[in-house]
Amino acid sequence: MTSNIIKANIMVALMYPASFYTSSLSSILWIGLSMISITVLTYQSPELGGWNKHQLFAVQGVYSIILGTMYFMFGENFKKLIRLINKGDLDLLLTKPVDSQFLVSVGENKIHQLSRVLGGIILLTYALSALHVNVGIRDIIQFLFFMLLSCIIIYSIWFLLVTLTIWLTNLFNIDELFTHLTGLSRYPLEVFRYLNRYLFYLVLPLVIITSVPTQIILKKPDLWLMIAAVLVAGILFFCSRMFWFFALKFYTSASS
Amino acid sequence: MSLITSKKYLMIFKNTWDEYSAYRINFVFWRVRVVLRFLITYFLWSAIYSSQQNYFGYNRQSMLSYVLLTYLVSNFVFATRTQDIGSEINEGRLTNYLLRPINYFTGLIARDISDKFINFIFTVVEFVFLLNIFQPPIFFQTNFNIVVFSIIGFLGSIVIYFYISILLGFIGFWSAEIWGIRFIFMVLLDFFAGTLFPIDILPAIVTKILLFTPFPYMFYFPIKIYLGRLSLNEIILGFGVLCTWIFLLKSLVMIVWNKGLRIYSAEGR
Repeated sequence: MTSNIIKANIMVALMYPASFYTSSLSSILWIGLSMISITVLTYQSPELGGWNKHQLFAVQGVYSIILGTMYFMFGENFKKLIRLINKGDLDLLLTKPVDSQFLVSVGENKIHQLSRVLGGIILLTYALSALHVNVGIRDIIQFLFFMLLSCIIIYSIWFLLVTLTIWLTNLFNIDELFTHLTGLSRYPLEVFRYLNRYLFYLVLPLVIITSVPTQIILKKPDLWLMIAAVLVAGILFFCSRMFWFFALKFYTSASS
Repeated sequence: MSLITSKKYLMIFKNTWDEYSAYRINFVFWRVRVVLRFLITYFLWSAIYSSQQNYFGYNRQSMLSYVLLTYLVSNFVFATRTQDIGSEINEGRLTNYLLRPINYFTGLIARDISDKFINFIFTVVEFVFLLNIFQPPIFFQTNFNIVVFSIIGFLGSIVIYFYISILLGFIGFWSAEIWGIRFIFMVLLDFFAGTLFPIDILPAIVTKILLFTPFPYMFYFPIKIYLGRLSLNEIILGFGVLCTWIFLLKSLVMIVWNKGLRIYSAEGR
């Protein structure tokens, strides 16, 4: 079944080659210009919130891998979910004997987002080699575990936002808001230390998405932030499930 | 413009306003997005100036003023409905405008003025709110002539973005893949228009080349005039390049529009 889904998604990507090329080009451009921006920003001040140029490259690489993966996995499915809710066609999925949150979250993949993931991996590898960081198997396992937690955090925030469309059926720019929310993760936590305490805690879940995995791969982990990442991922995922089932009580179908 | 003609465009203005009232949550989300974008840049620069007093000739006050002004200018430059053109062509909705006794481009201007007006109201409220919370150091220009020049430059930036955005929308005549190209343009705009940092902190040769492209005239140029960091010669030269781009882009828009209409098939209607 999985291989059929993958085949179908590859065929869709091949049907629209222009989309594939523009997406790949924008990923390359985005990564290139991010590197130039960081080089400019750290030109006279070698550190930004205690992070040097190559460490900031690593943050951008991690950001690109996580966001690319999330858009690859869920981008199309959440768009489809909004359309289903808008047209009142969601009940076709709700009647199936499978967990509804799982069913609305998977199925279609945006293959061309993988160019963003690949770009992120190249940027991260370059940063690690420039910093002369020796990465062992244990570091990679720890890194992947916290990347998974970051994905859970992003998934939960995104799903919470998309669930709002059950009440706000006219909402069609959730995607853009989500992209800008995750923009907070492009820079390390220390950049936001000038925020007042309440605002800082508000942006914390978004900022730890990239900060924690990057700290781990750079071998400067912060135990408190690691604990925070585990807690935030657990709490947000739980909230996303509870909110989804609560919202379904208010869903009104158009067909039945 | 006769009274009847102006009433038609006034109706378009009102309709756009009403659309925003109908989709107000979308608009609120759009404003959240704009403020977020500003805050990220603002905190990035605040972090840089925590260890530096002077950065490429900009002190903290002038750089944070630059960032704040970029936010203000972007609220007007980006407040446009021209980004809908591509989907209107692809879905055949362009026909709705072609069948009406209105000039398509004047209609676009009426829609844009409405969009900018509603964004202006929100910008004022947000601006007061942000000033109270963060109390950023702001540079006030007291030279009347410079203020007038910067306002003219600011109006020019709106016109340049208006034409470029129309051109990007007109790709819809030939392709359904508009989003990707618009995204690439936005990535380039972020960097070359000076929204993240003033482009004169780049190597001199890069800045010189960029000043002959339309990008800096959308943000960098009017803000630099306001901050009083351009000489009279630089301002005159800048206005020369700005006017040339407006003329070129307007001509290009008309050429592409006429060619596009010939192949427009109202697909999707």
